[in-house]
Amino acid sequence: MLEQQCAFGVSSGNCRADVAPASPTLADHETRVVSMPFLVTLIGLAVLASIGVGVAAYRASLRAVKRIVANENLALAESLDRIVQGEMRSVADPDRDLERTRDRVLQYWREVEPPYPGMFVCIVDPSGKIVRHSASPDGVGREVGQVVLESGAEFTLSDLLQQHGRWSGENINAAGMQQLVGYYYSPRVEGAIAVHVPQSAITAYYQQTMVPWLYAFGGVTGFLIPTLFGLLLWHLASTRQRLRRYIAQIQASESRLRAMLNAGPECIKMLDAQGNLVDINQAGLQMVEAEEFEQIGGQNVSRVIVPKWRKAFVDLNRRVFQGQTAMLRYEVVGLRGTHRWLETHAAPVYDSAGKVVAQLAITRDISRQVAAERELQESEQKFRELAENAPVCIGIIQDGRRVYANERMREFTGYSAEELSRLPPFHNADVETRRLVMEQVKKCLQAGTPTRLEFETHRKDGTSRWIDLAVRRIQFDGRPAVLAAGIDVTDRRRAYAELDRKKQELRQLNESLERSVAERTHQLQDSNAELESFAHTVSHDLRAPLRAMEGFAVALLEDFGPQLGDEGREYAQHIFAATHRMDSLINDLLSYSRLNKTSIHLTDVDLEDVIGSALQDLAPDIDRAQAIIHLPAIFPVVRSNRRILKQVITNLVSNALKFVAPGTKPEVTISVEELPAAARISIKDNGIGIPEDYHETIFRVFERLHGIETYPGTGIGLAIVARGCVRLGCRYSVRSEPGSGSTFWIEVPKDTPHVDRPRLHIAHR
Amino acid sequence: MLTARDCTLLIVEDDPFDVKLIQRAMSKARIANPCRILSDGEQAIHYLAGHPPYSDRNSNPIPILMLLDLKLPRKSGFDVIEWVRAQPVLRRLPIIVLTSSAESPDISRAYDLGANSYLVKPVGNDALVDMLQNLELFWLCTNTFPDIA
Repeated sequence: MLEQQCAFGVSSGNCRADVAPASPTLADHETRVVSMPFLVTLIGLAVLASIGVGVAAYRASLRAVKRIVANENLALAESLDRIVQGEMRSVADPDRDLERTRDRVLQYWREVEPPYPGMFVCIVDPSGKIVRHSASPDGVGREVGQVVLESGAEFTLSDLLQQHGRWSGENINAAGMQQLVGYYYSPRVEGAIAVHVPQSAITAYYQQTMVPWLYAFGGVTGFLIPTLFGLLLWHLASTRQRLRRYIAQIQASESRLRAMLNAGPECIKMLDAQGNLVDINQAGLQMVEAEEFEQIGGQNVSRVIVPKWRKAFVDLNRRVFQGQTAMLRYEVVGLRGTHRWLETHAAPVYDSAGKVVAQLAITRDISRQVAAERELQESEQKFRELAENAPVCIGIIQDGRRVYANERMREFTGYSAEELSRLPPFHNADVETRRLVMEQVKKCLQAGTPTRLEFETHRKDGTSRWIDLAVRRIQFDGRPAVLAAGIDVTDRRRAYAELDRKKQELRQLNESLERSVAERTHQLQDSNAELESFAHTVSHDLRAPLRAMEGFAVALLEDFGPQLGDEGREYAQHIFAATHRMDSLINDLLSYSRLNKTSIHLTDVDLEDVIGSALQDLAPDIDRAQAIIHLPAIFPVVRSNRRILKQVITNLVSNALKFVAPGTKPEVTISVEELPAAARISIKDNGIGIPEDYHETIFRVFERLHGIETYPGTGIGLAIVARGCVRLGCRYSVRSEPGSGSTFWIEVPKDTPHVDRPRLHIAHR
Repeated sequence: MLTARDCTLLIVEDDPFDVKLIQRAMSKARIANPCRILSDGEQAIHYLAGHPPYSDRNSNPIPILMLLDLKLPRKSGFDVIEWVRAQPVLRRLPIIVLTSSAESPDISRAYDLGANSYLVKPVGNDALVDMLQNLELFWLCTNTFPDIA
């Protein structure tokens, strides 16, 4: 498990997109491993083991000691033989015999101080019978014909001596007493010299000399081994704990890291050298439309890459595994079939040995960006087409160069696109103009404020052309540029120049007209004043002689009637009548001229009062004609001038009374109708009527339809009505047909009309 | 003391035809007062002021009433009214405007300046006689005159 965890991130195939929390058994282990009983058991085992080791060491050393002693015995036996042999060579003893030689051996043995207690020597004849022996423990070594080797095989002593001549080892003799022996065959004694040591003596000796050391050794090892073992255990346990903490930290950190990776919108993935997917985050899964890691984990990513990009991707992976970083834009088709543009930035991941083990790649979904770029390209294309076909000159200036000029621009300047891109902007303008224009263009480029310029340029053929140029800052190929769109205004300028001249003429004309108008106005004012004084003159001076004529005519009739005779009286009568007619004519003219002058004061006027007053003035005429007058049912109050309104009504009623067929009784119907903003006063008669052709002319001054003898009158009455209505802001008209009477009507405003403004005159028409 | 019917009437009228017709009407209306006729405003002022040739008050007495036309040569009727009303004692003189003008500015101005009455000369002799009869009845018989001389 440790190995597995440590190896994560480079080779683990089990790693999931979602990491499981740290194993819960880990904590349980911890308590069990360090528990006291376990430790005690371990220490006990160690003690037992060390005791075993001690015992084994003891036994092995004892056995070794015995072997050594046995060999010493042999060496001793051999040396005894050499002594005997030497003595025999130096001492020429002809008397020597076997028995004496055998005795010499024992003699020499006695001179040797035996190194071990219980040690003795004997001489054994080839039959295995002990023929001589030194002082020895009771019953020991009486019969040594049989030798039992450690292996358990049994030899006869003669076999042994014949085969080897010498032998050392343990022997169990008949008496059952174990002895350590060394045999040496000596021809001089005609048998074997055997040196014996009882095993028990060696054991006792050994125990006496070695066991304290053994105990010391055993004690030391019995303490040291468990201690070392415990230390080792403690070290292991603590190391393991540290490792666990370390792993938990790594896991937590990894979990955080993974959460961070998963939180991001970008795909983070790891590939091996073959391009197989080792690991990928949540965003990456979404990018290829996988529900879970298993769907794509361990598989080659080429599976989702659009075929035409696969080679490039393989190249990328290869470069990364060579230790380079790389970037690639490519298309993928997700597991559910969605097409995406991705941009990946890949870098190698090294192991501790510095070898590239994986490709770590951060990948963004740039579908939108690509779509936007394409859209931009399309719109740029559109712009280009639009610009090319536009009927205005369009150019783009960037970095002090014309980077674009449409067809109309080329046509306008007379230069080709290539020439335009080579020559500096506005080269076709005068130096000073060019300087001013470039200044504006720079200002536009810096401040971003659109501006308009109108200036003269020269075509390639030298003809002068004026352009009206709108300059605006734009982004072109991702950098600021100036878009200039212009129209050829040469013709317009000419037209304007012409227009200016005409305007100038017109202004002069106007001025002279104004002068003459002023003059005329002045004249008119003068003549108005004259007219007023004329009216005044008429009222005074014209009437004075008239009155005199009338007065004297009457005086003539009264004072000299009888003398005049009938004819003379008739003439005087004519003079009288003529003066009357002239008097009424003057009266009407005065009324008419009075309507023209001064401003009119408007008040609330009660129609009942006005109509009543008018009828009262006309009472003599009504009586004379025995006329029937029908009065209206309602009398609204209107906004008007009482004097003028009364005169208008008086004149209309007077006309209605006057123009009837001979012998007909006048019947006049006055009616008032309330309109939303006015009161319409209609005066209907049963008179002779007016032909339609005359409906307008009758309202003019001195227009008469009838001879003065038939229907007397001055021809001013209706002109006064018309003029009065205009001054009062009233509409007026007549409906009539010959023979069926006439209806004159006027509409008097209820509210103050703007009587002195011309628009009412228009409304009237 | 003279009665009102004996006192002089001053008539200021430049039109000789009118003078004739007024005189005829006065006789028809049986107005017997002596009348002094003057034909322009300046004469009227000289007369009232007693300037030569009107210094003699016996032959040129202060009138009891003045009939004044407005449109007069040299000085208009308005000037005369204005002058009279500016005099210390003479200002009391009743002035009756007798004119052919029925224009309202004239009427207003005359009254503004201090005219006591405004009569428009009527058309027709009979009307004039009627007017003069009424005038006599009111101004000469009914009215009480102030002290002027």
